[in-house]
Amino acid sequence: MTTSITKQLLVIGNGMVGQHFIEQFLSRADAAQWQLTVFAGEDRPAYDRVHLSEYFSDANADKLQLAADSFYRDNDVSLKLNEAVLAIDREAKTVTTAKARYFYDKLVLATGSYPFVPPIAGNDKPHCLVYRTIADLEAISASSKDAKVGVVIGGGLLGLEAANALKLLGLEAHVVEFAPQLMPVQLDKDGGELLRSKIAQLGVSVHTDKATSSISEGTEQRLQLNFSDGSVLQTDVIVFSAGIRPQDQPGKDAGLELGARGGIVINNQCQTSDSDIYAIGECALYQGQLFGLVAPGYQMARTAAAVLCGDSSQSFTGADMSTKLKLLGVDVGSIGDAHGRTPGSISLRYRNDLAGEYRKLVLSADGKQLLGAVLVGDNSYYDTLLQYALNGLALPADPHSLILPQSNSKPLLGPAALPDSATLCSCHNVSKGAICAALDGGVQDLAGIKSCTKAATGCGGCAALLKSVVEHELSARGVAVSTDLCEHFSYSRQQLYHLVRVDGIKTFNELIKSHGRGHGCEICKPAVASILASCWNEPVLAKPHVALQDTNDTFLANMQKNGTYSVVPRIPGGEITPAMLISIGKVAEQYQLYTKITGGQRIDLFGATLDQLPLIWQQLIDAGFETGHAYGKSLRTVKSCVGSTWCRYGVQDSVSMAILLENRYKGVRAPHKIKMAVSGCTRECAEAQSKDVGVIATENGWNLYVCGNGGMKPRHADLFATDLTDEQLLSYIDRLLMFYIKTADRLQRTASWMNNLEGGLDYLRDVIIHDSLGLAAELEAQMQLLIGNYQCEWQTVLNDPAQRARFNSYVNAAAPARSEFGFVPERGQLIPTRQLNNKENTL
Amino acid sequence: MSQLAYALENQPEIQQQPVLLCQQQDLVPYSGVAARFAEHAIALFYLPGKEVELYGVSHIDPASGAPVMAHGLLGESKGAFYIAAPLHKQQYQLSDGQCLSDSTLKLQVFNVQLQHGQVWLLPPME
Ligand code: SRM
Ligand SMILES: Cc1cc2nc3c(=O)[nH]c(=O)nc-3n(C[C@H](O)[C@H](O)[C@H](O)COP(=O)(O)OP(=O)(O)OC[C@H]3O[C@@H](n4cnc5c(N)ncnc54)[C@H](O)[C@@H]3O)c2cc1C
Ligand code: SF4
Ligand code: FES
Repeated sequence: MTTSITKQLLVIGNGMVGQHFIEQFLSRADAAQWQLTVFAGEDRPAYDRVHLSEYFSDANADKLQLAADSFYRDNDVSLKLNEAVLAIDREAKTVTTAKARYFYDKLVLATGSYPFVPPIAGNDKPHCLVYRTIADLEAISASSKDAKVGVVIGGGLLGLEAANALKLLGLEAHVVEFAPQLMPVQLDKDGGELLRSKIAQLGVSVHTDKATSSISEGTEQRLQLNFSDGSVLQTDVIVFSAGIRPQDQPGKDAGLELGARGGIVINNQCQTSDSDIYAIGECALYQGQLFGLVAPGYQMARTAAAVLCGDSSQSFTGADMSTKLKLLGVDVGSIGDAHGRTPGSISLRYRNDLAGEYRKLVLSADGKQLLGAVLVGDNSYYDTLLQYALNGLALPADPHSLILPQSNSKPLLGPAALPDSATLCSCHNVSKGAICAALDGGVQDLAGIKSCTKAATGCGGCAALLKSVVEHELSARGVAVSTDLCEHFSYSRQQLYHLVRVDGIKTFNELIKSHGRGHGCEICKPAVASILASCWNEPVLAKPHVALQDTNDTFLANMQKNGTYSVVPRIPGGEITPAMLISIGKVAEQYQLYTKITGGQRIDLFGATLDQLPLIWQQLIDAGFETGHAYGKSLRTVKSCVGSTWCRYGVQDSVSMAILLENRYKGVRAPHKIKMAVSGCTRECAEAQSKDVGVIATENGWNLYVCGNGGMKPRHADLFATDLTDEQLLSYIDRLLMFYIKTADRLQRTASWMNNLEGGLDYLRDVIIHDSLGLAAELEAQMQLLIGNYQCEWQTVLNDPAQRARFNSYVNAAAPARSEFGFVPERGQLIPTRQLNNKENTL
Repeated sequence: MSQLAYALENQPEIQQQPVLLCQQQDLVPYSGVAARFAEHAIALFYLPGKEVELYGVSHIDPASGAPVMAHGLLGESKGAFYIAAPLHKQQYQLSDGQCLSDSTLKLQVFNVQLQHGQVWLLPPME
C-alpha cells in the first residue's frame, strides 16, 4: 500500500460491533485509501460476548475470539490492545491514550456498554463482581474457588445466564430481582411466573420483589445482603446484573450530544452531532432507543462502513429487538410488542401449567397482523411467529392455531410461504431473496451459503430456519439434497461399498461401467480406490488402481508445498532401538532431509525428491523399517506410554499391546485415517481418549474407548467396554473397525461417524458386543482377510521395476537437482524457500 | 519459486521444429507423466480411446510454483477433462489450461501429438 494520501480512520472499542465494522469496512474497495487504527480497552482482540458463558463450559477463551490474530496484520489494521482512549479533542481532531496522541480524519465510537452497579452501600467489597468481559469471568471463577453460595442481583436475561454460570461453578445459586417477576423487560406477568417456577425446579432460588439496601460482612458466608423488608441472605459471591449503561464517557467529555439517560445520539447514517464522528453498537442512541443486542449493532456497523466509503444507499432505521434463548435449559422467547402496548391491540394466550408452557400473541385491533409474542417452555414456535411479525404477513383466519399444541406437527410457516423480502438472519441482514440469489449463482449447499452470505454466523438464532429454507430451495431447483458421491455415482460411499462387495467388483472401471457414468474425478477415484482396498486389500499401486490414487497414495509419500515429499517409516508403539535410530539418522544425513519428531511418536524426514524416494526407502527397508502409511487413509500410529515395564504406576504392558495393535492393523484402508493409543494406567500418558481407538490398562485387563478425535473438532472418546482380556479387546476392535469401514462416509473419521450413527453408542455396543445384527463373525473374518493380505507397499514397489520407474521425475530427462526445488538453511537443516505470495508466481 | 519455474518464466523460448519428447510406452493411461524440453517442464496426460488422446500442459503449478501438475488426478465433468492440482486441488481444464475455480490462474498449454508410438512437441499453434 503506497498511496501517499492515506487518511486516518480511528475506531475506539474492539468489541463485537467494532470488529464487525472493521470487517465490513475492509470489504469495501475504498478502504485502501484509509489507515485503520483500533483502540481496545481490553487486553485481547474482539471476542464473542454473546457466547461468553461458554467460557465456563470449556474454559477456553481463545475459542471465543472472533478473528485470527493474523487478521489484523494481514489487513494492515493497527490494533492497540489495552490502550483505552482517554480523551477526544474535536478541534485538533486527535484522541489521547495513556501512551500517545493520534490524529484522525474520521472517528468511530464503538465503546459498547458497562454493567450498571446499583448504588448500594458495600457494593465495592471484595467478591462483588459483574458479568461482561472475559476478565470478569476469570474473576468470578477465582472468587468461586472456596465458595459455597452465589447470588445474582438482577433477574433479567443476563442475570439468569450469570446464575447458570454460578451453578456450573458448583455454587448454590440465587437470583434477586427488584420487580415482581423475572425478565420484566421481555416477558409479561404470566410468562415471568412460569419461568420462575421452572427455574426454581432447576435448583436456583428466585427472590422477586426484593430491594437490596446494603451489603455487609457475613457470619456463615463471606457477605450478607440486607433487604429493605428486613430479611437477609448470606453469600460468598455477588454478581451484579442490574442492566447496562452505554459507555459514552469519551463522547460526553468531548461535548457530543447525548440522550437524557445517556447514549451518544446518532442519525440514520450513524453520525453523531459531529459529522466526522460516528457511533455504533450499544453506545449509540437512535431516536431515543438503545440497542442491547448484536443484530442491530451489526446493522449500524454496516451502515457506518458504507457511509464512510461514500455509499449513502445504506441507512439505519431502528431494529427489531426480538430474542429467543435457552436460560438454564428453559426456552424463552420474546417478539416485538410483547407487553401489548400498541393502542387497541388484543391478545391470545395459551397457558399450560402442567407442561410448563406459556404462549401469548399480541395482535393488531383487526386481528390480522402479529405485533408481538411471548413464549416460555417451547421455542419451536418462534421462527414462524417472528417471520409473521417481521414481515407483516397476513395471519391465518384462526391465529390461535399458531400457539396451540398440535398432536402431530407444528404449524410451521413453511419455507415456501416466506416472501423473498423476509429477513432470515437479522445479525447479517440476509433475506430469503439473497439466499435464493446465492443458490442461483452456483452455491450448492448450506456450508456454502453460510460462508458467502454469513447467515447464521452471528448469534446463531436463525440456523434452523436457514437450513430448512436452503434445503427447500435446493430441492425446488432439482438439486435433491443428495448423498451422491459426485456426478459420476448416484450412491453414497456406504452404498458403493455394498455394491463392490455384493458384485465382487475388483476395479474402478468395472464399477463405473456397471453402476456409474462418465470417467470419474478426483472425488470418486480415490474413494473407490479406498473401498477396493478395504474390501480386497490388493496393493494400491497394482496396475488397475494406479491412476485412481491421490498423489500421496501414488507415490506412497506426502507431497510438500515445494513439490518434494516426506518419508515416514513405521515405528510401532513409538519403541525404537538405538541402532534403528542411528540408521534413520544416517539416511537423513546422506540425503540432507529435514528431520522432525512427529506428534505421533515417530520421525518424519522431509524434502526428498520423487527420484530419491525409492533410494531412500531401499536403505530404510534394508535397515529393517516398513512404510508408516503417513500418506494413506489407514492406521497411522499406535501411541504408547512406557507402561508396567518401567513405570512405577503401570498395571499392564502398554508398549507390547501397542506394538501388537499397530502390527495387526497396519495397512488396512479405511474411509479416513485411524489413530490409536495404549496407556499403562489411568494416568493416561498416551492420551488414548483422544484417539479413534483408545486402550487404557486396568488391574483386571483393558478398558476400551472408541471414536475420539483430536484435530479440527476434538471429541473425547466414549468408554465402550471395561476390563477386557487381550482376546476380547482384539475381537472388539476387529469388529468395530470393520463396521466403520463398511458404513462410514467418504473422509469421515470415527468421531463424526459415531455422532451421526443413529442410536449412538448404545447401538454400537449392541452391534459389536451383543452381536445384535448377527454380523460379528463376518466382520472378524473380513478383518482377518485384510490382515492376512498385508504387505509393505514400499517393499512391493521396490521389487517391481515397472512401478519403480514411476518415480522418475521426467520420462525423458535426468533427475532434477534438489536445489531446483528451492531450499534455504534454518537451524542447521534445509527448509523450503519461503514464498510470500503464491499468486505472484503465475506466468 | 523454484528455479525451474523461474527459468520458465524468464525465457519463454519458442521452438520452430517438432521435437521428440518420449515414447508412447512412457505414458500412463488416464494419468500423467512429466517430460522436459529445454527449460520447459511439460505434464503429459494420456487418454487412450478418447477423442483427444494426449494433452500437454505446464508441469508447474501456477498457484505454488512447484513442479507437480503431472501428479494431479485426472477428472471429468460433463464430458470435459480437467486436472486437479495435487497441492490445493484447483481444477484446470486440459483443453485450454483455464483454472475453473480461480479465473486469475491458468496453465500454459503445449501443442503435443502422438504419432507412430512417439510423443512429439510441435511449434505452438497461432
Ligand atoms: C507430521 C505431523 C505433524 C508433526 O510434525 O508432528 C502431521 C502432519 C500432517 N498432518 Fe496431522 N500430523 C501429525 C499429527 C497429527 C495429530 C496428533 C496425533 O496424531 O497425535 C493430529 C490430531 C489428532 C487426530 O488426528 O485426531 C493431526 C491432525 C491432522 C488433521 C485433522 C484431522 C481431523 O480429524 O480433524 C489433518 C487433515 C486430514 O487428515 O484431513 C492432518 C494432516 C496432516 C498432513 C498429512 C497434511 C498434508 O496432507 O500434507 C501433514 C503431512 C505430514 C507429512 O507430510 O508427512 N493432521 N495430525 C504429525 C504426524 C504424526 C505421525 O507420526 O503420523
Ligand atoms: C453474557 C452476555 C450474553 C449476551 N447474549 C446476547 C444474545 O444472546 N444475543 C444478543 O444479541 N446479544 C447478547 N449480548 C449482548 C451483546 O454482547 C452486545 O450487544 C454486543 O457485544 C455489543 O457490541 P459493542 O461492540 O457495541 O460493545 P462491546 O462488545 O461491549 O464492546 C465495546 C468494547 O469497547 C471497549 N471500550 C470501551 N471504552 C473504550 C475506550 N475509551 N477506549 C478503548 N476501548 C474502549 C470495551 O472495553 C469493549 O471491549 C450478550 C451480552 C453478554 C454480556
Ligand atoms: S500411563 Fe501409567 S504406566 Fe503409563 S507412563 Fe503414565 S503412569 Fe506410567
Ligand atoms: S440472526 Fe443472528 S446469526 Fe442469523
